[in-house]
Amino acid sequence: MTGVDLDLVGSLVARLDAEALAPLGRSLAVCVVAAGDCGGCALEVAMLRSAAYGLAQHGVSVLETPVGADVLLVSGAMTRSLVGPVRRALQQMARPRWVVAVGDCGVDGGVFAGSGALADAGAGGVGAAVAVDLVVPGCPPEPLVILAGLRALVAANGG
Amino acid sequence: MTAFELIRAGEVVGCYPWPRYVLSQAAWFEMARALRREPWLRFLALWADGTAVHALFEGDAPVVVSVVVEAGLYAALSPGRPGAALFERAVADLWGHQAADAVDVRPWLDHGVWPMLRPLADRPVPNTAADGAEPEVPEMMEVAGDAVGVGPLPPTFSGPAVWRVTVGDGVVRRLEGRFGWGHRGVLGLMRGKSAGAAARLAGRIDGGATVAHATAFARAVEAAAGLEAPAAAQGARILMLALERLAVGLEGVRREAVLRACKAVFGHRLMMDVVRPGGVGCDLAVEGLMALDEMLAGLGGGEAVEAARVAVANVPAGVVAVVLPHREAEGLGVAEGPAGAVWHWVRMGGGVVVASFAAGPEWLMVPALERGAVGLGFDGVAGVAGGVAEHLAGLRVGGIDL
Repeated sequence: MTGVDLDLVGSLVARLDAEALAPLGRSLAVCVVAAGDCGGCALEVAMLRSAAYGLAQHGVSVLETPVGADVLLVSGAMTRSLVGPVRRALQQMARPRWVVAVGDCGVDGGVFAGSGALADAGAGGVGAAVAVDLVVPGCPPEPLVILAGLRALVAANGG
Repeated sequence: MTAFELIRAGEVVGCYPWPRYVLSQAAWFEMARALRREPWLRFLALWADGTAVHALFEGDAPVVVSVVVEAGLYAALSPGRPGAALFERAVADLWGHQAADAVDVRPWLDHGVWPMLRPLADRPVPNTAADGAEPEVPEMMEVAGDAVGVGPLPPTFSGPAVWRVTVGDGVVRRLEGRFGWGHRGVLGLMRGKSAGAAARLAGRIDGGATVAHATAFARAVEAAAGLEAPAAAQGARILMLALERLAVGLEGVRREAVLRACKAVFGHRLMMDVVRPGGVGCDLAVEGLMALDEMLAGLGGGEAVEAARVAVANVPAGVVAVVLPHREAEGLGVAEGPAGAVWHWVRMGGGVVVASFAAGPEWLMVPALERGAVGLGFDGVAGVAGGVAEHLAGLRVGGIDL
């Protein structure tokens, strides 16, 4: 599991805020999945997709299905009920593929840690169901932080 | 006797600012029957604790009415109030109390994979079948037509939920949802926590209505303690509630402008954790309020914008929080969220939350949306069907999944 380098995120956010982004070398297809969350992360992902940020201009597209996606972006604590569905969603994605856990409860269960409803009451994050490549902490993380995380993922994998 | 007369004849319990009446099983049964003849008494919510079931109604004023469960049973309200059905299913899942003569006894939140059955009961039962088990396949109502299942993960209509659409002649014959996939056990986590710690959980039931949930919870705790939040805090809450409702109706750069202003003034884009029992955790300087008003003026007109501007102009100066005394009592709080009223009930004791419930408007929206979907056009799940997805677009799962 690789955490987001906070310095890297900080500098990226500064750059993103200051200037229009150069398009990525390749486009990244993301499937967004909500697990046991409050929907706050989904609201910020929705902002990222809106005209305010224009995610598509940054070379990131959002798919309504995991089929054809490069990234499974999962927000929320991992509930027992969603372990199977999340694993099956990932299995529908061709390699190379990445899992990004978004938000504090996606990282380790956050405020919901310790609940019996979670797949792992001790560490109830997304990692309880599938191996996580990158975490984007925050409650919820701001849109630019999520975008920076996605770009960091592409950069780290030679995209 | 009318339902209201039956309620008022019950024994009054220390719940504030609105009373709670405890009825005998016989009186509750009579009330359940009377409800069928009295559609004007509005049903809002139903929940439980280890020994009793509680219902929230609104006539001229809100009122909570309870019955002590006997042999695990209480008389169902769903025959007279269809909106009670989802609550009755949740009460059976979480507390194990069964509603006798309920219109629907299928599970709602429990999919058979929790380590404990009826996790909020006084004595939960270990679920030996849970380990490594797959969630049960939801049992859905059968109607004539071709059934299409969607969810719990993409393609979805709204958050992690399973929906079944039955289609005939290109239109929806029946839409039925099954929730609980994202159930986090919020009520169990709130128990034994201080009001301040529990407020963080209340604020994460539904991130799109975090101010409404946190405010309703804080108002319930303050009512139980017998102390109101200071005027400046009340004004700040009204402002934050107005901003939350405003933001939900906006898209793109206009929404982003509101969220950025909220971050600048309240320290958080969605205003999470700002409302706390006893007051608010922000200092509203005049410059901050002026910046908010300037931002709002830039959005142009509209009812929600004007409401927020009125709220900005009506935040008094002064202390923003008080320390609440400990009191063994119950409280009821309400706040207006983006989709409607959010209710919180709390029982405090020994300085901690002993029991609580949260009822967002989604509980009553789901049955209404299911009924309202009949006749909508349906063009298949490939790429997520238009009509049904749009129909459910405003529904947020977190308010129910708890």
